[in-house]
Amino acid sequence: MSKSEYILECNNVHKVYGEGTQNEVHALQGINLKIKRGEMVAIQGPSGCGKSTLLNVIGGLTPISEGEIFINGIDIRDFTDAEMATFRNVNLSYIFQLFNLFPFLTSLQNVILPLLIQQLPRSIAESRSISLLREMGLGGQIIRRPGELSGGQQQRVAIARALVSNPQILLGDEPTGDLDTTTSGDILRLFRRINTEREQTMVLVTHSDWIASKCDRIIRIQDGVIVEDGLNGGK
Amino acid sequence: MAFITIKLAYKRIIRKPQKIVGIILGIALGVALLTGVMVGVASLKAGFTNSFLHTLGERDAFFSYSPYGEIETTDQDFIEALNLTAFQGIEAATARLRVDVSVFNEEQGTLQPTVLLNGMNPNETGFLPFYDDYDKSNELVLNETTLSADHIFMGAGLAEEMKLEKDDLITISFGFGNATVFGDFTIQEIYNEDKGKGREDSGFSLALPLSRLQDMINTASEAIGESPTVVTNKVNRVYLNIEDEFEEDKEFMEELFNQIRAKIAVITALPLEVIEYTWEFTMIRVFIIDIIDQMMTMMSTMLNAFGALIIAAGLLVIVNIQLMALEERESQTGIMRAIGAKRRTIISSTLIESVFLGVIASIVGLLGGIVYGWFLGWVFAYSFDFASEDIPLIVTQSTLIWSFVFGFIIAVVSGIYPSLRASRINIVDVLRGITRIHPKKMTKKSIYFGSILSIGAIIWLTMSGFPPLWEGKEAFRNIDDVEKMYIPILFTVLGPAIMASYFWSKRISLNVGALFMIGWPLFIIIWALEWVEEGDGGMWLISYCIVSMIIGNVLLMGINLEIFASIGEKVVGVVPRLRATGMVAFRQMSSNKTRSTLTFALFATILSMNIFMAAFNASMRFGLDDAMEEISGNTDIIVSITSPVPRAVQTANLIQEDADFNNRIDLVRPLTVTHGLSYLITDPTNSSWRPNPLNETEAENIVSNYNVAIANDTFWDDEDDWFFKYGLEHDKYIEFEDGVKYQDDEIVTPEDQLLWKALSENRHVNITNPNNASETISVPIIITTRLMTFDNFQVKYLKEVGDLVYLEDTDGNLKPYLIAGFAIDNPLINAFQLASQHDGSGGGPFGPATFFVSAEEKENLVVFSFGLGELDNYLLIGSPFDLNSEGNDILSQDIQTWANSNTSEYRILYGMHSFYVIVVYDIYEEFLEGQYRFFNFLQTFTSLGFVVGILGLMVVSLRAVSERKREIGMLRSIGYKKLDVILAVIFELIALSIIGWLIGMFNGLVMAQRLIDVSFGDLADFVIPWYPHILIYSVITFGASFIAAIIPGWLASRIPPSEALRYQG
Repeated sequence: MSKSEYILECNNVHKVYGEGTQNEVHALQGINLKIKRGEMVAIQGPSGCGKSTLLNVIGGLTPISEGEIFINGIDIRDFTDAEMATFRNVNLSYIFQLFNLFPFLTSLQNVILPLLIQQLPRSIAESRSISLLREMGLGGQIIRRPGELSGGQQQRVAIARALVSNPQILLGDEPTGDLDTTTSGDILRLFRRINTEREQTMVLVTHSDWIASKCDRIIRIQDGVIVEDGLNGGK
Repeated sequence: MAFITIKLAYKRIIRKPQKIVGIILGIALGVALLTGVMVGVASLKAGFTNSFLHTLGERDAFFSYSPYGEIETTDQDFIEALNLTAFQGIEAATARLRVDVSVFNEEQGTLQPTVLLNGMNPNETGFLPFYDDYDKSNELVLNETTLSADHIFMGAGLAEEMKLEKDDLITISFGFGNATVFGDFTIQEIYNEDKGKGREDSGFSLALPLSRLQDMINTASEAIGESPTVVTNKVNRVYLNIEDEFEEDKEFMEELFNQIRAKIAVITALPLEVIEYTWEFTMIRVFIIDIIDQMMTMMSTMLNAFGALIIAAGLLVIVNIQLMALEERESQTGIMRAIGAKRRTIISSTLIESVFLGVIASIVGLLGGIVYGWFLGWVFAYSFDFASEDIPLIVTQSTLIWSFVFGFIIAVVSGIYPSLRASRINIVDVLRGITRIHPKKMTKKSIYFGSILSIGAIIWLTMSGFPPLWEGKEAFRNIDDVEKMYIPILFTVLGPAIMASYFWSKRISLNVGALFMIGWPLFIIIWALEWVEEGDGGMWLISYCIVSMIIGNVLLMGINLEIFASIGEKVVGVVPRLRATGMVAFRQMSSNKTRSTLTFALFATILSMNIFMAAFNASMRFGLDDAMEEISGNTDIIVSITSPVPRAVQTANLIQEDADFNNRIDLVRPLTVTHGLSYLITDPTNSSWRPNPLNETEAENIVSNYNVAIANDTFWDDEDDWFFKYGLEHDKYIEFEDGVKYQDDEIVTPEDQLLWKALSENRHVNITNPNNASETISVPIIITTRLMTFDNFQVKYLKEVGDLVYLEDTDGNLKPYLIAGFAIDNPLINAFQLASQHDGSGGGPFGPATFFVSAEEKENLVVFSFGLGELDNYLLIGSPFDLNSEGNDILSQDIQTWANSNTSEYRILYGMHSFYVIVVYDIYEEFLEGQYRFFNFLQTFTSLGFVVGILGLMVVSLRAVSERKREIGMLRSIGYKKLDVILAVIFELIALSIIGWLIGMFNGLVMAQRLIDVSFGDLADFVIPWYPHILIYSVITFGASFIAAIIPGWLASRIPPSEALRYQG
C-alpha cells in the first residue's frame, strides 16, 4: 500500500509539555498510527491519557516534540505557522465538546467564517453555508446566535462549520459530551450519514463506549501509548 | 457570613494579583488627578504669594497725603513727628518721594514713558538693605556718598528693556505744575531686584537718595514761582513694616490706620473727617493676599471642572475593567450562587474587594498626584515666566485626607454596578456557559427610573420660576433662566423616553432620549444663545451642554453600534483577505456593547474636552484679526507724548512737513489725556454728597479714571467721513436739547458717529436738578467705559446710560455730566489699561475707567489743569496698512526715531524727545498672548486626560484580549493566522477610537465654533487647529489604540491554539 492511501500517518509521535521543567509531562510517547480515507475512527482512553493531545497534534494546533505526521502525504512539521493555518483551514476541521461557536456571530456567520478565510466571494460562501445549515435541519435558525439555540442545534451549527470547507479530516473532541442521550444519538447518526455519503474521514475522541461502538475502528490509548487498535466489528 | 464575604474578596485579590493592577491603576489615576489639582493649586498659591509678597519686601502697608493721586506731597519732618514706630505693631517706617518720569536715551533713541523714580532714604532702618548689583555679586549702598553727582541707579528690568548699561547717559523728565522738569544722569549702577526690598515697580524704576530728588523738586518749585521755604523736604509715600503677627490682620490694620489718622488730626489741628478724606491708607499685603485668594479660587474651580471630566473618563476605564473582571468570574459567581451564597454576599464581597483596592490605589494615586501637582506648577512657571523654584511643592493635611476619601468613593462607585450585575446572573446559564441575547425591551426598573426623572423634572420646572417656553424667544432672554431650565427640560424628555423603553422598542426609545441629549444643547448653542440679552451666568450652561452632548453622542453610537459595525465590516470587507477578520472584529465589537461603548466613551470625553479647548483657544488667539481691525476703528498707532505739545503744530509737522510719511499715514488726530478721580454719586441731594474714599460703603462712588478730552475733529471731519470709528453702547434714548437719538447696539453705527459728534460739540441735555426737583438744568454729556465692579466674580454695573457722573471743576465744585453712551473696547482704552498695569495705577480688575469729555469741558476741569493747559499729549494715527501688517511696526519705529532724533524737525522745533509709540496690534497681542498662555496651561491640564485614556485603554485591551484567549484558539483552529488575530484586535480598537474621535471632533468643534460665533459674530474667524493640536490628538488617539491592540494581539497570537482552547479564565 502506497503512502497516499492513508490520509493520516503518525510515526513515533512524542509530545512533551513543559519540557525541561519540573512539571514536564510526556503526553504522547511514540504514537504510530495510520488512518485510511473515509475511515471513522474512535479514540478512547481514560482522562489524561493523551487523547486530546493526539487530536491537537494531528490538527497542527500544537507542535510535536518528536516524530512525524503526514496528512494526505504531506509532512505538516515543515509548515510555518501561517502555512499550517491555511492547511488547517482547507484540510482539517474541528468539532468540540463545548461547540466553540462564536457567541457574537449568527449561525450563518459562524458557518461562513472558514470560507471567508479562504477568501471565497461572500455570495458563494453564503449559499454554500445556507444549504449546509438546511441539510443539518437548521434552516430556521440561520440568523440566530448560539445563545438562542439548544445544545443539539449548536452542535449541528458546529458540524456545519466543520464541513463547509470540505475538509480531508474531521476531528471531534468529545463532540457529544455536553449533550443528552437523545441528542447524542441524533448527532452520531448525523456523523455516520456524513461519513457514508461524503466518505468523510473522521477521528473522534470519546469516553463513550456506545459512540465508539458505532465507529469503524477503535484505538485505545493509555499513558500516551496506543494499547489497542482494532476494527470494530459490532457497528 | 461576614467572614466568608471577606475571605472571598481576599481570595479573589490574591489569586491573580496581576489582574487587579488595572483596577488599581484606574482608581489611582482618578486620585492622582484630584490630588494633583489640590497640590498644584496649593503650590501655585504659595508660589504666587511668595512671588507677589516678595515684590513687597517688608512694605506691608503705605499711606500718603494724596487725595488726587501722587502729585501732592507733604513734609518729611511732619512724618517724623508722627513717630510711627511708637504705634503698636509698626516695626519700622520710612518715607519716600516717588515721581513718575519718562526716561530717554539719546544714543538708542529709546523712550520709556512711565518709570518710577524713587527718592529713597539712605537709612531705611527696619527694612531690608538696598538691592544687589546686576550680577548679584555685591550689595549696593545708596546714599549721598556712594552715588556721584549727576549719577543715578537704574533697575535691571528697565536697563534690559532700554538696552542700557553702566555709564550710559539718560535724560529723565516729569511734569511739575505747568512745567516739565528735565535732568541728565549717568547710570552708576544697575540694581538687581531679586533680593532685598522686593521686585518693586516691575523693575521699571530708578533710584536716587531722597535729598537729591527733593533738591530737584525744590528747584522746579522755584522755577514755577513756588517758595522753596514752604516745604523743602517733600515726601509723598510712607511705607510701614508691620510686625509679622499683625501684617495680615485686616482688623488690626484698620484700627492702626485709625490711630494714625487721629494723630495726624491732632498734629494738623484739622477735623478727623478732613484727615479721612485727604489721607489715603493702603494695606497692600492684605490686598494682594485677597487678590491671590480670588485668583486661586477661580483657577481651582476651572481645574476642578475639567478635572471632573477627566475623572469621569477615568471612571469609564475602571467600570470597564470591573465589568471584565465580572465576566471573567461569572462561572465562579455561578458556583457561589449554586452552593447557596446570597446576592448580598456577592455584592458585599465585590464591594469589599473594591474598597481594599481603593485603599491601595489611593496610596499610589497620592504619590502620582504629588508628582502631577509638581508638574502643574512647573508648567505654570514655564508658561508665565515664573522661576520654577518660586513655586514650592505644598501637600496639605486636607489633601492627604481627601485623596483617601476620594479613592474610597471611586472604588465603591465603580464597584456598585458590576457587583449588582454579578448578583443578578442566571445561575444555570452561567454554569452552562450560555450567553443570552439582550431583550428588546427594558426591565420594569426603567418605568420607576423614568417616572422619577419625569416627576422630578415637572416639580423642578414648576419651582424654578423661569419664563414658560411658549413665550418663545422671550423665554431665553436671560442666560440665568436658560441655565436653570436646562436640566429639568432635559429630564422632561428623558424620563418618558426611558419609561417608553419598557412598553415600546428599547432601541427607538433610547434613540429618542439620546437624540434629545444632543439636540437640546445644540438648540441652546445655535439659537437660544443668540436670543440671550441679559444675565451674568453661562459657565454652568456651557458645561451642561458639553456634558450632555458627550453623553448623548456616546449613547447614540452605543445604541446603534451594529450600524457602525456593519459599515466597518463592509469597508474592511472590500479586501477579500480581510473579510473574515473584519467580520469577527466588528461583530465582536457590536455584541459587546457595554464594554465597547465604555471604551469609545473614554476617547469621546477626552477628545471633546481637548478639541473644544484647542479650537476655542486657537480662535481666540488667531481668529480675531478682523474683530481687532473693527474694534481699532482705524487707529493703527497711538503716540503718547510725554511732554505735551500744541496740537496744530505737531500734527502739521508729522503729516505735511515730512515726506517720508506721505504714503504711510492717512491721518493724525490729537487727544488730551489725564488721570484722576471721578464721583459716581447715587444721591447728590444727600448733604454729605462729597463721598469719603475711605468709607467702604461709598468706596464704589469713586472711580480712578483716565479722562480724555477730544477735539472737534478727532472722530470725524466736516464731510462726515468718520475717521476713527470708535463704537458705543447706548441702549437708551438720550434726548438732547434739540431732539431724540440713538438706539442701536451694533459695534459701529452712524448713530455712534452722531453721538461722538454731539460730545465734541459739547451739546447739553435738559434734566431735573438732582438738588431741586422743581428745577430743570442743562448738563453736558460724557461718554465713559462700562462702569463696573466685581462682587464674588459677578459683574456689577455701577451706572447706566442716562445716569450722572461728577467731575470736579476748577472752582472746587462737582459738575454733573450725563452718560450718553459707553465706549466699547477700543485700542485707546486698552492702551490705558495696559499702561495702568505697567505703572501700577490699577483701578480694579480691568484697569481704570475711561471718560471722554469735549475739549471745551476740558478747560474747566481740575484733572486737566495740571501741566496740560492748551496742550495735547496723545495722537491717534491711521495708516493705510492692515492692523496686523508689519508696515505699522516699521512706521511706528520710524515715527519714534523721527520724533526723538536730534536732527528732526520736531526736535529742532520743541527741543525735546517725548514720543512713545504704541502699535495697536501689539496691545491686542499682549492681551491675547496672556489669555493664550492661560488657556494653554489649562490645555496642558486637560491633556492629562490622554494619559488616563492611554493607560486605561492599554489595561482594558490587555485584559480584554487575555480574556478572549479561548476565542482566539477557536479562530486559530479554523485557520486564522497569527496576523489575522492581531488584525482583528487592531480593527476593533481602531474602530472604537474612530467613533470616539468622531464624537470628540463633533462636540469639540461645534461647541467651540458656536461659542466663538455667539461671542464675536462675523468678526471672528473660527480657527480649527488641525496642526498641531488636532494632529497630535489624533496621532495619540489612533497611536494609542494601535499600540493597545498590537501588544496584546501579538501576545495572544503567540499562544499555541491548543493551549488557548483550554483557557478557562
